[in-house]
Amino acid sequence: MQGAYTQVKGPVLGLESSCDETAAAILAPDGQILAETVLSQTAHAAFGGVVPEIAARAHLAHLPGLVARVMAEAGLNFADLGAVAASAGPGLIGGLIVGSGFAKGVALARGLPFVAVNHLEAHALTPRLPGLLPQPVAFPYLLLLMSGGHCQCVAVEGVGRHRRLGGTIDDAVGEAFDKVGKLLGLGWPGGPAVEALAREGQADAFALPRPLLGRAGCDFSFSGLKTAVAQLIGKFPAGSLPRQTAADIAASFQRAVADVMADRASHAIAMFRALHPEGRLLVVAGGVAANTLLRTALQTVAERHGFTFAAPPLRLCGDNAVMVAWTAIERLRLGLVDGMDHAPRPRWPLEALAA
Amino acid sequence: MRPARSFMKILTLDAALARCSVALWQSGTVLAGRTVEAGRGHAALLPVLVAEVFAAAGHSADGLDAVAVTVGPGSFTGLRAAVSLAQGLAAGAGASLVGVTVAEAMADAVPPCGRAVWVAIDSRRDRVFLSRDGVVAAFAVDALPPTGGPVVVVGDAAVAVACRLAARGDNVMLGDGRVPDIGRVAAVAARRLAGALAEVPVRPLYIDPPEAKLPAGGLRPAPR
Repeated sequence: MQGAYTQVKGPVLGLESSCDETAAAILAPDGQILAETVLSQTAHAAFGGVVPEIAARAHLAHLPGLVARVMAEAGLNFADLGAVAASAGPGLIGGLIVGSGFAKGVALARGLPFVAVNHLEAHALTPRLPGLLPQPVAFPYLLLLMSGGHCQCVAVEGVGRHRRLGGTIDDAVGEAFDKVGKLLGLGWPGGPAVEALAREGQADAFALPRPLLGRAGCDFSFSGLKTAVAQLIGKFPAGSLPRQTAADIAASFQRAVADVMADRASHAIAMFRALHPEGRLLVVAGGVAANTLLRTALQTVAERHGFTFAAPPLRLCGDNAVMVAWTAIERLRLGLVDGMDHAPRPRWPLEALAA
Repeated sequence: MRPARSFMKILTLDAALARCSVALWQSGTVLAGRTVEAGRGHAALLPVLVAEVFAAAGHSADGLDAVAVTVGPGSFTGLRAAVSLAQGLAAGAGASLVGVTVAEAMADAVPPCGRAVWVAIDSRRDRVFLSRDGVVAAFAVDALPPTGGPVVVVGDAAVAVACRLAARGDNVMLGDGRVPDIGRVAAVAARRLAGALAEVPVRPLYIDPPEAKLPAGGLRPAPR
């Protein structure tokens, strides 16, 4: 649907519930953040991964309270809102239904436009949030999205215009970190703990594969690396690993990932440049952007190619609702709204937005 | 101040079973209603029906006293689609949010016949959610509890349950209700809002714990 709303008539409520974070945020029409909150669900830890049914139940139980909280923080009534938006995919269908359902309910009650936001586009457009980066970010730019659920290189050319240059053919990079964390006995999600433990270890202690290193294109593969780590750890008896060994494995794994990421990013920059010779910006988003070693490796690659490196602040790198509200504002400015018949989409590639 | 029960305007939603229904209800009358028989796609369908009901009734959410929703038992996906939509509608309209169980709405439609009412809802894999006297529990269809007297069975699993009971010689009658009638849902909601019925939490009656497997052999303990 197009053309109904060419301007944003009031604050925008955004909801995020596509995986295991339940989040709500309110942005002023100019993008100023009026209120934001994120609840990271903890009930999945014992299972060593996100359990879809547990996540869906938790989203439904917590979302109304989170919305009430941001409305109160922003000092707004529902009658003051200008639009409502929700992450409508890709993601776990149970959570997507909850976020979309709540947002559509508010939209119906107040006669507001509803925007079904693509979660990947929300990550992709975050750097354009006013005031986030030192300089206003114009299209096009190169995005590396690295999270527990996603891992891809995207040429961001405009709202609804994204070109996927490459991505993982198996696991996401954050997923590999979390799985290795679990194998090492660091709980779940163990990605941040892997980085912490790696500081005590030797990165050259174990020889691990660097999947797709040097290969044409900018695809990723992490399942072979994860399997190599699993086989390495499998040689040790059950129970706690010796701390130094675990630290050496963590450091060796992280170094392998950094080498692969740097190589893939370098290829992605070359591919992006061929498309957009004027492009000069590499943006990293997703929870993995918090990893200092990876960040440094990517920054080095960017600078070598004459690119500026940027990453949103950590709280906006992981899943959040600010990015959902912001993407809605970008779409509303172009007159893009969605109907009440929009169906949440567990699979929703970025390229499908252009259709 | 809340208007007297008979003047209450209630927007009622149901997507618990293989039907999507929305009605705007006042004083015992459905002012406008939409019903679509649908086993799936509730998240995309139900909001459209709400918009149609508002349009047909020449009504907006302003002036709504309550939003009522069936909380199950039923399809988890349908329940979440309806409950989340009801939460958003109630918040946006500043209206009360009230839950009605599928069993309450269905039992309400059974005329007095000197029999206990069993509401049987399909829970797949040869199991049913059985509601007796307001208490819901899951049973295998070949291990149903004793009836303890004459019963009438309604619900989308009523045929399967009634046949099993008849086969073992129980005094059973098959009622004709298979899915909730939206007018009955609204009527029960009105009684609840008037304080005549105890409140029920407005969250899905899942009955079963979430399907989740703990890792085989447990998780490796932390390094030492």
